[in-house]
Amino acid sequence: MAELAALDLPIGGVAAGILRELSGIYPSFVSAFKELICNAYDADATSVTVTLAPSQAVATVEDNGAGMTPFEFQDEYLRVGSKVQGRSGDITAGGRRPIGRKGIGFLAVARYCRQVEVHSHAARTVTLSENVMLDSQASRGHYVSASFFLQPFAAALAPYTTILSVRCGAFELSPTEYRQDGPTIRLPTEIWRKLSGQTLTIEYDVDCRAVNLCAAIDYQYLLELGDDHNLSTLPDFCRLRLLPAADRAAKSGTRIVLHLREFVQRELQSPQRRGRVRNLTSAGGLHRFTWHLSRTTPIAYLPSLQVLDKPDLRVLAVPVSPTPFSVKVIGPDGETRELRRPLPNDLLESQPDDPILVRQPFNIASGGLSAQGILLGFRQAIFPAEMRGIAIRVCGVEIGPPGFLGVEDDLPTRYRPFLDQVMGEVIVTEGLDAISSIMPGREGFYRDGAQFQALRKYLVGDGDVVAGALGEVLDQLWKRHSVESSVERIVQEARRRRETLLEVSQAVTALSVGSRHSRALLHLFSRSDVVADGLRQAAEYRIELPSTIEDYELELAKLEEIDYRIDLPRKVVQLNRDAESWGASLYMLGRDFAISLRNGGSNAPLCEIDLSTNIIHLNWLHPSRGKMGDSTFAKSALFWRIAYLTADGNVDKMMDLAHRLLAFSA
Amino acid sequence: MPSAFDRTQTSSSGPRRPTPQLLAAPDALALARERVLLVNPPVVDSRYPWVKWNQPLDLLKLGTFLAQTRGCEVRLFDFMLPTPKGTVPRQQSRISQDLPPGEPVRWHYGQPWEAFDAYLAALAGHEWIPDSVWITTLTSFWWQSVPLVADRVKNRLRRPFVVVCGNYPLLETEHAARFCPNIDIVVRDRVDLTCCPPDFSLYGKQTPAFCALDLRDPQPAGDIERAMRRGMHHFVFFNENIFADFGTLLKPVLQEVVSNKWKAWFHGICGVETRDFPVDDAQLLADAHFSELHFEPALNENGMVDEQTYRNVMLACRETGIVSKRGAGWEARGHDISGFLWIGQPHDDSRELVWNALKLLQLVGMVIPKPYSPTPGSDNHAWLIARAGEVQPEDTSPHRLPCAGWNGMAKSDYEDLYRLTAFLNLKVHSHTFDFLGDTYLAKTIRRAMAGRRWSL
Repeated sequence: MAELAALDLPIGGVAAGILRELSGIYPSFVSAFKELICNAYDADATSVTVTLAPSQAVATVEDNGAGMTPFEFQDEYLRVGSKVQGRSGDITAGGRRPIGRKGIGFLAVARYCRQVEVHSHAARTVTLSENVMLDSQASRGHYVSASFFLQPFAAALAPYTTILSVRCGAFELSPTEYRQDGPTIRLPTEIWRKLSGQTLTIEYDVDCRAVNLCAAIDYQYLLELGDDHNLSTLPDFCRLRLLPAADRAAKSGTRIVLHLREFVQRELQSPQRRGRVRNLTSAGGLHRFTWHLSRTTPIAYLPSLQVLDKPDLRVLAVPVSPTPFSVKVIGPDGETRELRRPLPNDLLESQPDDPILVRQPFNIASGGLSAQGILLGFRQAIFPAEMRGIAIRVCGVEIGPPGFLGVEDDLPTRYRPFLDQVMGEVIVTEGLDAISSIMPGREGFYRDGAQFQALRKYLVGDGDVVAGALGEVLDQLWKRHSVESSVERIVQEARRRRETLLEVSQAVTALSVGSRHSRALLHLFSRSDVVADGLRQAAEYRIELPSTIEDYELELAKLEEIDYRIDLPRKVVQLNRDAESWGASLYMLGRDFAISLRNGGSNAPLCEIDLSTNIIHLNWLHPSRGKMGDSTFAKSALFWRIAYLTADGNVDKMMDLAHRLLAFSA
Repeated sequence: MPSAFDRTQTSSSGPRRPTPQLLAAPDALALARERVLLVNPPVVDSRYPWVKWNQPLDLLKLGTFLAQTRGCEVRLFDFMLPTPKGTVPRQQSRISQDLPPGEPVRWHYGQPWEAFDAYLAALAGHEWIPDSVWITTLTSFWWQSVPLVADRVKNRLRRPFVVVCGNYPLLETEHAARFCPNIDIVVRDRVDLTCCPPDFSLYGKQTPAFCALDLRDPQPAGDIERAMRRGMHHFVFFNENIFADFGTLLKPVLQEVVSNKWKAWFHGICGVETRDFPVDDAQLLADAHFSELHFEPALNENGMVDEQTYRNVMLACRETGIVSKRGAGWEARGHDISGFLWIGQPHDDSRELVWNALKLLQLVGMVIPKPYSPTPGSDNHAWLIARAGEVQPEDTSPHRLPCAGWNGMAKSDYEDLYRLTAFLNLKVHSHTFDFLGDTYLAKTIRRAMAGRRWSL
């Protein structure tokens, strides 16, 4: 297809050194790359497709947004610090709050690419106006001509240019009083003379549907220039070609092809670390890229949250845009993945219990700031670790990595271990819109704003961290941990007690099959005439709760695969009634004994075995228990009692059997 | 100060320990309900050289029976299942503490108790509580682990009823009723499961290193095919005489293996009756990959090795390529070939044993002493009881040589015999005598090895 125009465009008046500085603002490839997605969002695109070539040497971003006219490309895209036109206030034509407008434009990815190609089609007509000074030196002849369309590509676009109106002050010329000849206007000499010395304002349309824009920007060349180079005289930094559109009815859209530098390719190709990978730093390069891209572009959690079926997390599902916006990534393997805002691993893995312990949803509306969100306290440390902390999203885009707003060191020591278990998200729906005044990547600029300070105060207090929402979450996690530790201690003690009893049974059984006491032991356990009446009279021992949970209620409940559950708000600890550790019975040599813990005191026997009722009484408040520990005490008491009963008065036999029983389970 | 033990009174009433019920196999099977756990218990003994060939064929068949006829959900815990590396764990046993000085320590062969505890905890955690637990016993003298298994399942699985079956309750019924108080049912006869193929799916994702087969099964070849689909390629027939009724039992199986070109290897580790060796069909054994043959003793009426029988067998083996002659001994293709020699029998004669050992070494190339255990109820068992008084089942373990001492030979004599055979096996197999070549002198020395010229 024949070109309509091929032009070399310069860059407007910034020194090369400054350009290089600006290109270094983005600390990583993905942070620069996300600007292309954000640009597509600002251009009201509903769908963006990122394609990585199999070699990963080329990345393409294609959107169905408004596209760029040659004018926008020249005046906005290529001009550092330009203001985006065509928007009404803070809202795009599609009703979105724009993310871009930083005026960095083409420089975002400069450091990471050798060259970028921009292909764009804007299916719209652009209305422009130009002032033409009418020279008093009128030419000879019937008509005088003046150029009104002075852009470099005027000649190429002349066939698609139509004058709408011609004004001279308050006076408007009728179409019969002038003639258009491509990019020039022709006025009869008498009218020219009449208006000479005045300025004509010519408003005209350029139908951009007829052309496709194709530009190649050479970053390699740009970044190798000396600092003192005059960029405005660069003849061949950007080559723009205008091609006739094959189909004037084609929809708008932009395709940007990035020729990546080798270090970016290496980064994308870096393999995943061996073994189980939970943090992003250990993940493969491509996974890291898409993960970070999904955190820093205005895409939604949905439908991930719907799948999760956690209604309380719906607060995160704030629609970012009034119109749909999706980003697809076609990887080097050809597989297409739709980008979704990621969630912690624990939420995605099926677990018997809810991984979230504390939920603190909030709404903030003050001083022009309107935000909502939630702080979450997890049962365990959050993975990937990159999700720990509070993320602040403006226009759906995360401002910097999540963190704790610098209060980590100000927290009371008891709370610090729980920071790894906290994540949160603040979704700013109004206010905090400092985008136009800050540099991308320099999120610290937010901190100076009053709205940010208000947000900070809500989250982490004003001097007293504990007073903020984060402090409350940490406090709940800490309290829960304290309660959990106490309950865990009770469960562990019960488990040890149970194991001890089982060891006793195993020792007795083992000696009944392989020792000289075999028959005597079997005989003892066949008797029913051994009665205990000492400990039976003593009060029953009740397990005391530690002080940290003394105001909690203990409930026995049917719990699946867990030993206990703690209901902090209701102050209830539910214990799994089916857990083996609570078993208060013992099967030994064919007899099913109930275990009864008694408060017998120092003068009562350590243990009694009642073979008439099949009850074993243990003197659980005997002073020796404190010195020996639960396990040793229970074993010693039972073994000695069994040895005593088995020996039937023969002390040597008793000593030998007790010694063997103790040795068996030592 | 009152004693800690002085308040016990006696009473004549109250609950007594329930004694196990002695039931016939059909009655016991009728009690199986929804969920059944089968357990192959660990082995407690001083030696167990054939440990890797322990597989609970009866339980695998019982699993099929219970699932098919009773609709039970069946699971298996096999203590003796080798690890993926092919070894069976061993640790010193904590039972049998009353060993006289000089007695070898008792080992616990099989997975440790902790593994079983963890398995039971997992069952309980997943709400899979069996109604009944069936514990099998390969021999009566390995009974000691049965009450320990029962103790664990009773305490950790909400008291299912526990059944003991196999050779222990069959041969020592009264003993089981008396010494296993935590067993509920003692199966006093053999469970006839001839019609049931073994259910190897009970091993789940684990693949046993070999597959035990019963030639009396309706379709042993079908069992082989099914096992191969599960990734098992090594097979052992657990029959008393694998060559009995050769034409109708083993032969058709091997023919099917050969005709289908199955990649199956057979290990003749038991029941290889030398006298019944199918000399005329030896080629079939070779083609079916019989890679290991341990010949049962074949003695003449004088108690001496029946040389002609062994010669015929070895000739057939050599001609068909089952074994190839190498050096001073015989060597199977890739694996072992040996002749078993009974030791520790009531009427052992040391000179005959040595002569037989050397003869077997000459004829077969390797001799393996096979310690004897008198079967409870047999004449030899009665002979032993008549001399030793009461004998506990565990004392009849062949590795304890129960008849030693009573038959005129001390245990130390048998230990010497073990050493001798080990030494000669080693020498023959390491080709120590190969340097002699085929000279007249070499042949004389080999004859001397097999003769009576050794000063022992």
